[in-house]
Amino acid sequence: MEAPLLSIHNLDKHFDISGGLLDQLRWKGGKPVRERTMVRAVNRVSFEIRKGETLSVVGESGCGKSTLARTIIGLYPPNRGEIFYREERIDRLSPARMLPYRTKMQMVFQDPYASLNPRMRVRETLEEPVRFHRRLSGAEIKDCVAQVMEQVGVDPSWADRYPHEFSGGQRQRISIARALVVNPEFIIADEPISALDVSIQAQILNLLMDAQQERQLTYLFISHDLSVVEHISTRVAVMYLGTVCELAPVDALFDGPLHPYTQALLSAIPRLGEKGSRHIKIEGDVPTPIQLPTGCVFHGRCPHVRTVCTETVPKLRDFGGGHFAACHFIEEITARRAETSGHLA
Amino acid sequence: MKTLLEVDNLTVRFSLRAGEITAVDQVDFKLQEGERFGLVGESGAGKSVTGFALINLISKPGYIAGGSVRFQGNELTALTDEQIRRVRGNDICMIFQDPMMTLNPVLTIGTQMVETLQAHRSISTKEAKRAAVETLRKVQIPSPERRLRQYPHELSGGMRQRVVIAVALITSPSLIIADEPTTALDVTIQAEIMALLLSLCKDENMGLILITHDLAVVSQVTQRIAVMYAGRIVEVGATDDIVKHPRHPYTIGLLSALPQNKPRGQRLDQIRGVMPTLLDIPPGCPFNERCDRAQEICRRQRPGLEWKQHGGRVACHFVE
Amino acid sequence: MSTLQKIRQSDLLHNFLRDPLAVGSFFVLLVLVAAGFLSPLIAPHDPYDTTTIDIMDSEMPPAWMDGGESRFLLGTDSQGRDLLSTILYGMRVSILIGIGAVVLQAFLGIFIGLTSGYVGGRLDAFLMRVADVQLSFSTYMVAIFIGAIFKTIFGVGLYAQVAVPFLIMVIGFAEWPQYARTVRASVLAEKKQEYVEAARVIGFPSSRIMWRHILPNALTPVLVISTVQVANAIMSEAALSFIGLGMPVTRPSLGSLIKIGFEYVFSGTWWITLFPGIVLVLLILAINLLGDWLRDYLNPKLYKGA
Repeated sequence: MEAPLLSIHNLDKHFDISGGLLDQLRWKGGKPVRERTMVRAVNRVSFEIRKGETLSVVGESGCGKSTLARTIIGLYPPNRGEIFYREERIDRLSPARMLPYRTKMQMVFQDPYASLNPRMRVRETLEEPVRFHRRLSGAEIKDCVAQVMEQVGVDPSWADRYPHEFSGGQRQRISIARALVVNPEFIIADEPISALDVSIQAQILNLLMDAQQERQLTYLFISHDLSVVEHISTRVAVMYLGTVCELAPVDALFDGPLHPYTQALLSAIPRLGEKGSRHIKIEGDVPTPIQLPTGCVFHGRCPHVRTVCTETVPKLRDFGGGHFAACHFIEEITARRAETSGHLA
Repeated sequence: MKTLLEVDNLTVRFSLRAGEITAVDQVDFKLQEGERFGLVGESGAGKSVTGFALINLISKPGYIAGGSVRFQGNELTALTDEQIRRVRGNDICMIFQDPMMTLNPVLTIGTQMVETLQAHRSISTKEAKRAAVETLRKVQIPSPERRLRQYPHELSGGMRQRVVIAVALITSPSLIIADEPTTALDVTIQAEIMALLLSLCKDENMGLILITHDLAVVSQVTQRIAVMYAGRIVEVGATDDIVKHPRHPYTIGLLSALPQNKPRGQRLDQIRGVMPTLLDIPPGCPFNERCDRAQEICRRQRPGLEWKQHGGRVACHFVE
Repeated sequence: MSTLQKIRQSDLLHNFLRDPLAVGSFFVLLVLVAAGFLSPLIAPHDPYDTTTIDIMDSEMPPAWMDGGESRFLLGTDSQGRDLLSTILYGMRVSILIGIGAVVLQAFLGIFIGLTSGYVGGRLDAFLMRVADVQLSFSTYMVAIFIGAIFKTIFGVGLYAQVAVPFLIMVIGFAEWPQYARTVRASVLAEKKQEYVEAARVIGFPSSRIMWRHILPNALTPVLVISTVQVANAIMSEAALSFIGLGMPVTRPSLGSLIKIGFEYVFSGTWWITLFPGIVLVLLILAINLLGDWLRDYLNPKLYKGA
């Protein structure tokens, strides 16, 4: 099998939110102790992204999916773990040695109103990366930018306008153009359509899919919108509280989710015209990532919980066909489900 | 069945420096008692403004330029501020996307619920507290007595929205207007809140106007929907009928743009262009510039919202 | 669209024209600044030219009073200088020092605030503590201290020559922390924006991100405090001159004029103090009112209804 385009191993990203030294000091047992408060946003995440595929990461707010994306692209340094791009380790590189990878990996952001510099004309926003990375003449840069603008469906004659003169959908197109203009192979899209209207979402999704075909792009697609993920992905990773609990090809995941959390999550997707609730309710709220539960992070809310779940962290296990899930009792849960649906039939 | 709300030719305008804009243009619909009705549209379609206009909450530079809103036979647009305040929060309650628009961050949940109730009923604080606990239980909040003493920031987003629903319910209103009540919430919580709203409306025979951009959500909860575009209703009818057989080109486009309606991985059908801003709505049918079926007449003459053969109302020249 | 058209249609102009207070203060300011900078052309006398000054003309009342002369519209000061001309020249000095000090403050403040906000961590903590220490000394203390040392070392004669740059330096150095804090706060807010992350993903070096991407977006509050700071700097200068640490009597600013006149107020020659005083108040008021309007315009959250 071909080597993966990008792979990450046991990635951890924690944020220290304890403030200055004085805020960290606590009085314990008669003497001052320095205590830090850490948000454990991403914990022990490993996966590979193959060339040409779209791997989606889904999860609810606060599950660490955006942090994961920003750690992979190098906006945050990881606390532990490794990131490999075409088998080269890239997580400890100096800015200068990272530079060649900057043209290969790009990112599209969520908020079309915040992701374009309001004081720069569209032309400046798009030309600057080309000028920075490639030695081209002024005319060549202009051509290159015009071509990309054409591809994303923004009239190149509007290049001298400022971002505020465009609608949300058009801004997102410009944002995508900025990522494409350096000719990347791999694009991380962090909720690229969630701030847009339904009819515009379809336009942007089509644009992303077309660009993937034309340029043989690989996507890491971050989203909370399950029906979009279902539509666009090759494989899907489900995250809960900073860990991946299930990773599978899209059909396998949506047709037969294994992990109890995935089952609950998928059952909550509102389906057009479907009356009555199929929703599997899960008890309680998501715990804070400051004090992670011991053992399986889902154990506090899982309907199938046993003692072992509170003690041992379940590993991602392969259940055939590249379908991975991290739960101690997958076999049992699947058997019980088969039994109940058998009864109903 | 009795008519709960009757909206006739409601028009809301805003006087802006750039010109006079019509945010809600001759909107009319009816709501029966206990009926669940959806107002669907994209941002800028005028659905939220319609919601505000129903309870006379339009503030300057906007104003209600025409039409009427009759609630249980009373004309709401003609009421004084004092009179409308007695209706608002009592007979008609509103739930917003952001729970913190309703909840006061410096007051405990108990205080807010008791105050709301006492503003509309003359009952003792003790009785009001008992009613508050009961309502919190109704919205399935665990250990309601303890919650009364908590502040809004101590609760999660989903819990806060439940409290907002409880605050709305405490006066036993006959109509709830919910403006994107679950847009800010995660899917699992959204499903719970929607299920809760649905069962409450059924149990208490409450009317519901659900304002949302999410067709899937609205299709699960409501009996009838109105689709809005550029300030106008373009199609009204039974929810199931519209979802399965949309008639207006915009509704058709909107539904087929949903990923759910296409096999995985296939290109989506998209509506070209964007909705015109309220400042430059084209003459004739507001959708004509994006419509594949547009003819000469669509650019000249605005289609009225008329009854069509299938038994729903559509604003299009080419629907029989 | 041409630039002219853009300006004509802009919200800024519309909002400005709708606010009579802002328009009024703008015109007052315009007249004062123009009069100040055109003083060599429009002033009837040259107060710096000792050959034209006659001590016999001293303490003449304004022209419309008994004993006044039409040569001296607002009267003369204790040295026989025409008061109107001296006020015009003095205003020029005051405005020059005000603007100069603010340019220096802005330069220091933007540089330090930007670095502090963008780099963060220990450098940020260090720079902000330095700012705190600087703020805990008042402008006057710094000026008295440095001024005293300067005069002792170089003598009063030399001081008179370099008084303007000296005052610019003193007021500029004393008040940069205001700027640094404002810039830092808005840099911290901008730094979290996605366009900054996008610039980092493209691989731009930090210096380019700071100066080219963040700074232009962080300048709005700088504009607002600049107006207030110009007024403050003019006031500081006037106060320093009033206690004798500012502009020398030979090249008076508004502050030193008020001081000169103050010694004669009780002998009945009130005009030497009153007229420069009125001009100073007008100047400061106009700048502050304009600053208030600008702040309201740029920060829509403070709008008082529509």
